[in-house]
Amino acid sequence: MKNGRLLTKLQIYLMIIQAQLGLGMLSLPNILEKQVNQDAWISVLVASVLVQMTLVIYWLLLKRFPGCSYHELTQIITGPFLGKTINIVNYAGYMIIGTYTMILLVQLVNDWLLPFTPVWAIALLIIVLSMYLVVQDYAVFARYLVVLSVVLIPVFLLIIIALFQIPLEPRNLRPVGGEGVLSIIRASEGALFAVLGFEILLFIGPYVHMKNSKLLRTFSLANATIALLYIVVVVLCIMVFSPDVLKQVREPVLYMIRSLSFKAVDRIDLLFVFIWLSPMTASIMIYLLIASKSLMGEGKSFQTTVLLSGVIIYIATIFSSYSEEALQLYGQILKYVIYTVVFFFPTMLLLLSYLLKKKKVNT
Amino acid sequence: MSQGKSEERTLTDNLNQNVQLIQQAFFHTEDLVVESVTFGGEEGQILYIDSLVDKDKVMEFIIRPLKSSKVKNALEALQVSEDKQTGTVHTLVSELLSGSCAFLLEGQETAILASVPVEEKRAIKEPDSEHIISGPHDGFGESMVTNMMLLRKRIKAPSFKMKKYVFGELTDTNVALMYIDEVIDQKVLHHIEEKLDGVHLQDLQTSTGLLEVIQDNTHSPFPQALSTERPDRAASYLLEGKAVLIVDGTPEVLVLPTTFFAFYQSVDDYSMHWLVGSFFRIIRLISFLIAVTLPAMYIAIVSFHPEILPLGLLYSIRTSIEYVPFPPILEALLMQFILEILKEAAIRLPSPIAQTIGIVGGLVIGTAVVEAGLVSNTMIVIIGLTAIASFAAPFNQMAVISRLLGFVSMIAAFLFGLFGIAIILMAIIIHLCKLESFGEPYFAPLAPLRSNEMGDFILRKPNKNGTSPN
Repeated sequence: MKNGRLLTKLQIYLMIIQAQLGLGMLSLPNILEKQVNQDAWISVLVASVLVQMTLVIYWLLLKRFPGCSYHELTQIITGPFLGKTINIVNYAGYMIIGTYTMILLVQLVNDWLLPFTPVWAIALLIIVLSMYLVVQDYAVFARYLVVLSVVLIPVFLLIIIALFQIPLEPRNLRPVGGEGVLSIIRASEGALFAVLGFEILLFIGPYVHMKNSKLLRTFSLANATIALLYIVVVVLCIMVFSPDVLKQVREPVLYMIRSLSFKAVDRIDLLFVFIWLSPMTASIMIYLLIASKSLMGEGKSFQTTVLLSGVIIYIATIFSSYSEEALQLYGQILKYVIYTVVFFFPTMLLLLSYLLKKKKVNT
Repeated sequence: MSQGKSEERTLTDNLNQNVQLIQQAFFHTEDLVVESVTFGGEEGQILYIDSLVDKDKVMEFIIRPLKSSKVKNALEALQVSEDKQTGTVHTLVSELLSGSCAFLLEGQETAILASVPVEEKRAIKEPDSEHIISGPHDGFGESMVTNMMLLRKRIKAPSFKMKKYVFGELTDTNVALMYIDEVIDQKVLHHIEEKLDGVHLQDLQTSTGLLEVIQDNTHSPFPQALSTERPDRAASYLLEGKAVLIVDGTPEVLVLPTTFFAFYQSVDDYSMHWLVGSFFRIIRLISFLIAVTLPAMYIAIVSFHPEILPLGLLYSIRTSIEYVPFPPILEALLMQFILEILKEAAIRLPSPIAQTIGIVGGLVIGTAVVEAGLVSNTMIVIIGLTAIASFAAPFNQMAVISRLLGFVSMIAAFLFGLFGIAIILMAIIIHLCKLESFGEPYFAPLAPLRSNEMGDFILRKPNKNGTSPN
């Protein structure tokens, strides 16, 4: 392990936050409102509790196999053959999530910034940029995510301004819990997808060296921060829009920002999209990174994998953006992919490692 | 080549043959002076290169003592501080080239070398490119020894070390690597030494020439070592644990490793109140952002997203660009080019003419170009602001880079609007995160985040490394 490449607590905290932020936040209130009306924010809460549980599973894995990356860990637990199979499935899974994020991002850019620029050009810029970052490997990637935290400042500012400038309707929030527990929990699935990205923690192993309790605390703190931010955003949106409107606008957060008025800037929402582009591309970069990591650990072969995977994502994006069917197919399989890759595999591996009493012996 | 042959050659006991040998090694140059002296009854010859030695010294300390001496040993007769003997032509030649005088005696196979170099020094004065308001006003010169003296006067620690290198087959340039041994990170030092050991150069004239061979990433636009002409700045970096490279013959001294943010810090930050110092640092960093993005932002907004501007402002901009025959990108590029040309023209002229050029170029052309309807008002404002912002960087290297990046982001803005600018900015940040200066991350302390170094990064925190008497 190279000295000086280890991540500090603050770095990990900011990294998780950046990993979870992204495209999902913009349309989250809309997706949830469609299902549970005024109780959308409770679904966010439920989702963050689920994420917390997943984080604990990840943490237990990291704790049991200190210094190990996820792709090594699979092979230690289930043996080389099964382990490699799992890695390949993981690779495919992360690639699918990454591609889907890419499609959504290109769509968003087309909708808000560049209505006439072809998909291939936008996607090309994004994928080239992503490949440029990801070939540098984890250390540089972590540095970059931390620098990106600067984008949180305008978000906080805008939330505060929105609180004071836009007339809010607290009655929209009532009746609290009126939609019933079951449907709230079911709707939390939508919120879950918005906070994805924390899978990057599975690959953090070789780059951390700190007390396990501290690590868990950092994980939880980051998750809590994101939960708080999302709940505030969702509550704001519920109070700003009437339920009917909220069900119709696809990016309510942007529309909310749009209604803020300043003397010198008319459409602050466009500037917000401009700023938000960086966390959104960061999500694609994360999936490109962890997909390549699940196949190849480090070195030259890792870089070739990154480049190849980048090309695959690019091609898949272009194909699906020109055919509705492909896009729908994506949406359908995405859910199962996420459940398998993000939740099922790590949990299964953890259980197996307990059952088989496999553990990394410290050398 | 004769240099290769002369390496193996040694002197004989025949005086005339020896003199011929040396003259041959110098390709019979005419400024190699040969003077005959008799010493203790024997015939001898004194050789030196006319332009490299101090003739008064040769007369006073070599010729006169030799003539009047009663001692038998020539070495004892000479009254110079540095003298030695050599038998090989190669050493003799290189010593003569560095300002020595050789004394050959009939029947001796070795020559006596006495160092009497001519010392031509420029007065120590403040560098033109790095003016400050308050603080010391001395600057480095061309002589390596003087530069080392300026640093030694500031740092009196015995662990302040110097390592000498010689580079360049033709120039034999002396290079001094200086550092404080107890402060510098040994890993960094090792990295630098490793790089320097691997250097092979045909010639070395500038410190930039050396930097280009030893830096980690040659293609990065960002300078990976800070070059300064200010001894106070170099000394303060030495105290922080950096190394300094002094190349003989250039006043620019290299500080390595460096970080991006070091280019936006100035020594006067430390001689002002810490609040004032911090304020100026923030201003400088903002000016970097302005220099890179402002014209691009303008192009993106005018040609892709005019709805960002409120109606009133949009209207006045629209009317100003209504009759301009160029699209905003061409307009911006044109004005930037004119600006760069003006700068290039003014920079090498004596200052009274440069001022005239500035007035004619800036005021006259600026106004006329708008009145003729070639360029819009707003564009003049934008380009003017950008130029001023780029010059706010304390180091010229960074100022140029920020304008260059400004060109890139302008083109991106022209093609992809705000999206293009975002991509360029992200690419710059990724590049900065990736870049390393001699093994140390370039974008520190921001990436990787080092909270303990945050105090002296954007803010200039008050001095706390000592205690007051109370």
